[in-house]
Parts: sequence; C-alpha cells; structure tokens
Amino acid sequence: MVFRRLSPSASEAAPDDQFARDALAYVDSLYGTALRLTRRPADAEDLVQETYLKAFRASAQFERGTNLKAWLFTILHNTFRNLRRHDVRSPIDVDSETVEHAADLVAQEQTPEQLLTRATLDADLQAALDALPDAFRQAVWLRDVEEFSYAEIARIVGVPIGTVMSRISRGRKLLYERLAGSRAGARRPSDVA
Amino acid sequence: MANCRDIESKFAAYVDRDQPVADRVAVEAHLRGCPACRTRVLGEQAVRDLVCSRRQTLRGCAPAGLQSRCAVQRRSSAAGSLPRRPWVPLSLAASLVLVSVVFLIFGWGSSVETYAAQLAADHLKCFQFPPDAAAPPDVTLLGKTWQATAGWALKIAASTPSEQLQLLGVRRCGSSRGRVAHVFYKWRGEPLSVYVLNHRFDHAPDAAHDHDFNKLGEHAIVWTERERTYAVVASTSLPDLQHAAHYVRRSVE
Repeated sequence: MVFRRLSPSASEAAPDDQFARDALAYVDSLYGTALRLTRRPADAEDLVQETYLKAFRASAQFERGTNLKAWLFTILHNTFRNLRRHDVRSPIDVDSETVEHAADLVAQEQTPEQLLTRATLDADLQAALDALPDAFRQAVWLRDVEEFSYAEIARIVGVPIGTVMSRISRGRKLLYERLAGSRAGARRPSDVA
Repeated sequence: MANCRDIESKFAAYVDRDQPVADRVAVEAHLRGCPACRTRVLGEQAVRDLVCSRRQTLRGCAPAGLQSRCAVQRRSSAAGSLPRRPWVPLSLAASLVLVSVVFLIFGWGSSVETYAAQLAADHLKCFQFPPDAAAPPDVTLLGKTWQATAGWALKIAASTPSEQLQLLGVRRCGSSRGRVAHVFYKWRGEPLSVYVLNHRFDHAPDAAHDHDFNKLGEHAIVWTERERTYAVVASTSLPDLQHAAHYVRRSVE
C-alpha cells in the first residue's frame, strides 16, 4: 500500500497536546474498524497511521466541541476509499444495487429468535460479521460496535441516512440468518456471499 | 397497514428504540399483522443485543506500539519538520509519478532516466511508512505470497549481516497500479529500495551495462535481466549502492 502525502499549507501547524491526546485515545476503535475494512493487520496499521497523519495535519479544521471520534472515522473511511481506488489487491466492493438487495437473496429462516443464544462463540460472531458484504458490515459495525448515530454514519460512509438505516437493518437480518443458520447446520455463510 | 417493503426502512430505528412515536406505532401495527416481519425484527433485535454485548471483544485492541507510531505522525504533520524528507520535491515527484507512470512503464516507451526519477520519488514517499520488520521476513514465504497475489515469480535478496543489508518486506508499488514489486531494505542503517518490473523496460541497459542516476538526491541503478527490470535506489554513495546492487543481482540470478 502506498500513501500520498497531503501538501502542507500555511494554515497547518502541529496539533496541540490536548487534541493529540484526545485523538490517540481512539486508536483501538480506529484499528478495529480499519481491520474490518482492510482485512489485513499490516494494512490496517498503515491505514490508522495515515488517518492520524491526516488528522494531525488538519487539526486546525476540527471544530472543538463536535464529535472528534466521528471526525476521525470520516478521515479513516475517506482514506480507505482513496487507497482502494489505487490498490489492485483490495477486494472489489459489491455494487450498491447488489448490496442493497443481497439480504433478499436469503431465504427466510423461520427459526425462533431464541435460536440465537448468548452461547454464540465470539469467533462465530466475528466470522459471521466478516462474511457480510462490506456495506452491511460497515453499517452494523459503526452502529452496534462504535455506537455512532445514523447521521454520523451517513457522514462517515458518505450515503444518505435512509440508506444507512436500510443497511443496518439488512445487515442485522443477514447476520442473524448466518448465525442461526450455522447453528442449525443448515446454512453456511458462503452461500450468500 | 403499510406493506413490508415500505415499513422495513423503519426496522433499524425500531430495534434501536430511536424513532418518533408515530413511526413506532406504525411498525408495531404492521408487526401485529405480519408474522414474517415480526420474526425478522426479533432476529434483528437478537443480533443487535448480541453484537452490543460483545462490543469490547469485537473492537479488540490495537497492536502494541501502534499508538506510539501514530503519535509520531504528529511530529511529521508539522510543516517544515522533515529536514531529511523535503516536501516540495516529494510532492512534485509524486505528481510526476502519477502523471508519467503509464507512459513510462506500460505504454509508449521512454527514458530510463525518467523512470529512475519516479522510482526515486516513490522510494522517498514509501519509506515514510516502511514495513514493520519486528521479525525477519521469510524470503521464501514472501516470494510465495507475491506469486499468489501478483501472478509472477519474484526472487528476493535475503538479509545478509555481512553486507549490513536488512530485508524489511515487500509491497506492490501503488504508483504503478501494483504491477511493480517494491522490496524494502535497510542498507547500513539507511533506506534502500529494490524495484522489480515484470518485463523488460524499453531502452533499459542489460545487466552487463547498468546505468546509474542521481535523482532527488537519491542514486538509482537500473538494469534488465531475464525479462525483468531491476532498479536499486538509495541515498548512499554511488560506490556503496553499486556494491548493494551487485549483491542483489547475484541473489536474483
């Protein structure tokens, strides 16, 4: 992965200590999300470092009192999108129409809600999340793991709020079907990838 | 009663209990008359609860040292704080790479000298983020991984303490759309790059008549051998670089 530097401008200055401390407190969240995006630990680390470089360079543009975490995640996603355009290794994202309708391709499981129990292993859940189409995984991750609002996710991902809500719902539906299906031994995640 | 497709856009907010009362009432009215949607919402609710309960585990922790490496970016972000990596030639060189790479490598044939210039720019740029070489890379594994992902065989010169050459890793050179292998080394403690192009570069000299260039303060030695084009780039003195290039050449023959 090759990174392009931002050209420095006269308005750029080293970020203050407080900003740097606050921003660096999110390194775990950013890395976890970067890992979901890149699927490669080394690339995830590169992506997080590039995110911080850009954030520090643009720290003067950050409006104090607004959501720093959402601002950092927006930089992370934008950086990932830009890098992916130039990186032939990256998996090709599913086109939006396919993504929006992927959930419909799965037959309706009539298993009861109780089929999904707390006994689901972390590894099963992680694998099921990783098997989701990118757009669904990002939406569910940002909402349920990183606790962003719909509006914040819309800004981070760059899609309308309605699309965010649809992706969250369909992503959860797919995730349920994968987990419930695998527990019942009736359906494997690869069936609907 | 709203039909399923119309009402499903409200399911996420219903499950999250984050919607106006009117929407909630509408969803509940639909669910009372639609067993399929009721089952779906129960499943979504179960997934939401499960993921939220595993939030910390899923998020995990960043690798040790990543936070300190990110903190270093703060110093790099200050304009003018990079005396050894001046931004003006770097940004100019980056532009040169983006604009000219198609002409130079995959298209219409051009000068080796310009090719050396763009590799020098790429060398400066990519060593801002060198591979993490906490453990010595396995040359065989790197070669197999490259073969699997790029589709062509890449011979890599291994680390050699006697030559003070340390292999750091391999990446695709992004400025060539990933078609050039960029092998990262430390040569006597300084960054050294080896670029391998999967075909003979027009006008490039053969192994017996390599060419050296000085671009952006970096020396580059370029040669072709067995339908591969090689370039060794570093800021070390030319005799040192020739020594390193000689070792690389022997290793990949």
